[in-house]
Amino acid sequence: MEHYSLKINGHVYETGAEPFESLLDVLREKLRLTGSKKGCDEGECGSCTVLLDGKPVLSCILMVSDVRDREVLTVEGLPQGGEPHPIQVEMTERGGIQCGYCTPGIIMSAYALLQENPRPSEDEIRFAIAGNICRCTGYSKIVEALQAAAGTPIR
Amino acid sequence: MAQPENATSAAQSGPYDWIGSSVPKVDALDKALGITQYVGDMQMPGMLHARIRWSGVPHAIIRGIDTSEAVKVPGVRAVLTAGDIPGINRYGLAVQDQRVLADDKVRTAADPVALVAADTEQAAEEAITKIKLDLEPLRPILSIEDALDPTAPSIHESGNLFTRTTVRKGDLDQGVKESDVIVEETYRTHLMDHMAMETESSLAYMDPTGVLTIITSTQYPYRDRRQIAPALNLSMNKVRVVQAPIGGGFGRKDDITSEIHAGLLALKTQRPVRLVYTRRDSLIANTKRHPMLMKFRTGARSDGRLTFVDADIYGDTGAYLSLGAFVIKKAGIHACGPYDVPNIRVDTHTLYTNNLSSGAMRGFGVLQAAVAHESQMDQLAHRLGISPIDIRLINTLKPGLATGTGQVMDEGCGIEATVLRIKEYMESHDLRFTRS
Amino acid sequence: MTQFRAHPILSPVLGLEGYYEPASTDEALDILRQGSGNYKPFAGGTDVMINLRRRTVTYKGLVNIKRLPGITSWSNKAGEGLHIGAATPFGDLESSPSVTQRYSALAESIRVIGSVQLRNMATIGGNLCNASPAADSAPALIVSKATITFTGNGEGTRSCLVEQFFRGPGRSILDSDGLLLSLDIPEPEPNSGDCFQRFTPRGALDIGIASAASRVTLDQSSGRVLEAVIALGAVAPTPVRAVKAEEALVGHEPTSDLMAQAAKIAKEECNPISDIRGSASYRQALVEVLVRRTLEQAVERAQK
Repeated sequence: MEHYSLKINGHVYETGAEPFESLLDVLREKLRLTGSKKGCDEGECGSCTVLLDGKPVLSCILMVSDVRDREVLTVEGLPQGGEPHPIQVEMTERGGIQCGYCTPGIIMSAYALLQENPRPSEDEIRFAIAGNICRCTGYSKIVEALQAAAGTPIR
Repeated sequence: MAQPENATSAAQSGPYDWIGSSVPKVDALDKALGITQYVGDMQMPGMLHARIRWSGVPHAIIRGIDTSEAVKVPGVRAVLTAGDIPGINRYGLAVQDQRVLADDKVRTAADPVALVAADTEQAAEEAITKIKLDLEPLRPILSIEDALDPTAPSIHESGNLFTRTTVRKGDLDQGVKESDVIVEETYRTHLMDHMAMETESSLAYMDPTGVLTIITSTQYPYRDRRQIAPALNLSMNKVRVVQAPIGGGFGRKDDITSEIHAGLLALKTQRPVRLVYTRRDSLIANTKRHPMLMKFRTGARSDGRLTFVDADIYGDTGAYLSLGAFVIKKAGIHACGPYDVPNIRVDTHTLYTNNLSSGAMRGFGVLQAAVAHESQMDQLAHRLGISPIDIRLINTLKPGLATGTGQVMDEGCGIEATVLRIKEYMESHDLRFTRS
Repeated sequence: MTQFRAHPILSPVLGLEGYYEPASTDEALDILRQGSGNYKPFAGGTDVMINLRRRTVTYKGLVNIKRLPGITSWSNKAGEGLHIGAATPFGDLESSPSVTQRYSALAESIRVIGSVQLRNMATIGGNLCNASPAADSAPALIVSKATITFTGNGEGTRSCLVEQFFRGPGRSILDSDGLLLSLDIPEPEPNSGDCFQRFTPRGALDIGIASAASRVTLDQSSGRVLEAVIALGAVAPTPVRAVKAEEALVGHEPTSDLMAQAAKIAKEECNPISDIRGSASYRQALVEVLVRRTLEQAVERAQK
């Protein structure tokens, strides 16, 4: 067992872990940050998406040893001053959420997109969330919510 | 955060103002914030992790299960087999044909044969690989044709044909006589997984008053309780089922999934036990969408008017019925689709096989039937030289007309308007059907 | 400070004896030799983590190579082309205009790999070392005449063309103590163009049923084909060239008819298997379409 100091959502968390444990398991089971979800545990569904140094990655197949000296952002880190992020608000109000299990992953992928490209087109939004599977919505309401969050026109 | 403004004002001004307005789901913001607790997000002090050993073979007699190496894995607290079940080792939604843990026989590769609870998921995982099964293979029934073979071995006591249903209307011979064209085809649909984003999961614990509490991702807590209590030999008031937020169900979580297994382990270990299926477990076990074999004969007059439907629908419910007979019956009820058919003979056959079992899934049998009746419509249109849109418009159910089972349509019947919209859209966008 | 850290017993459950993060190539090779064939070098870990979990492969040791100097970075030098560390994530290349503007086939192949998240983890060297017949980057790298530099294998550091790297499904020329260090992609020649396309039922998170990359160099004065290189994915035990199709193009004017004819030849000269993703004949039909379309695109780009 190794000791790790992990920088997550601007805080430093101390934890013991095997170097090859997934960041997702460490987040969920050891640090109790359960916002990132385990849908497949094989890097296929995107529910576990977190940002590593600003880029979206799959925390279920990311070894915790590769997170040393880097910054992790999870869905819990998005609200500012106690207020939900606009993506979180629009997803809530525009029907982008049904069962909610894919939602944190979608929100993290969308957040990463908007950091790089604040005014994405519908195609760019769809490309950015192509790694996030949702079984409830059929994606339309999600795309609309993300367009609203970005302030781009909804078709 | 406060309720969104439109919701508050709607609630204040009158009870029906919700209708027609966009109302955010009450639990959506928690989900967006990542604070909603699904079962897999929960932990309790002293909690154990569970894993299931699946049979891995479709049909076999169980000669023995050796758990001696599994119990030696460090961290393992319990390894259970059928003999450890305190109550009746049977459950099921419609008929009780499922075992909590396989006893005499293995009826599908997804039969659970043993359970492990351990301090960590890895230890539980390691232990299930060390369980040795001594199985005597039986001839497996792996297709609808196999199940219909009279020489095939019986999967359950009462034979492989569970039930037959019929739909009759008008005079089939007359319909055949009036037909200018008859299309006869066989269609097959495949097994399909619901693939809910959250896998099956339960957290079970004994509460301080001795009530077995199971927090679970289920669609139906009361029906779960009715199946859990007898298997664990507990009276109904000693079992409490709490419905957790569900990460997608789509019919899949209508049945018992992880509830009895988690409950049994909690009862035996007197510790909280969390059983969260891996995606692989979820793909292997529990109900899927029924594969069907559909033999259809459909007739029409030269003007496109349907004359008859004559069909046999065979549904593969797998090793267990779940809601299979109802799903397959529904495929028969909908065999003519949204069309007015004067003469009907439709038989459905619900068959046991050693395949993965199927049950409720979005559409509940209607989708499979649609593959057949819509393909038949396209074939008829082609043979008669009518456009696929027009043949549908000629035959759609309209207010006043009745379905094959006698349900009379009212103004809520929107199929004609739907097809007309498609026709208008295609014409205005210069879209055509092509057939090569 | 050395990053070499050995863990005597990591996890009896997973059968792992050691996890290493070597800081130099020599150290990495030492560790791999110590493991006598049972230690796995990895970078992105997107395959290794899944194998660990599924227990499909047993590793006694894991060797994380991402701390080797220069292995996660890349550069673009005028006149030399791209020099890419083997552990460079696809995401780093995907977003760079110097790749997308001049290396079309490579950029097109990167864009379809897995998903945004996966490309931020999965590395170009890992895609090659995994040696899947369907490796998305392989056909594009082959037509780009990319070379790889590797070490170990008992013989020191050497280079070869990507085309010569694969041996079969999951097998490359690297032994268990071999290490892929970098890739070099030469600058595209004048009057040349390339293109990559693959076919999958889904737009993302899918494995190609068949793929093709084409590269065409035209004679500036006559407009005829000076050189054609066509590589196919997922239709043989390794990514392969369609040599006869290439030959049919050389010396001729690249008309649509000729390209269609070359595509037919490519279809005939490949010999795919049938599996869960598609039948042999379906794959062959795809090859014809993909080769024709990639040739047309490549020629159009070469003529610009």
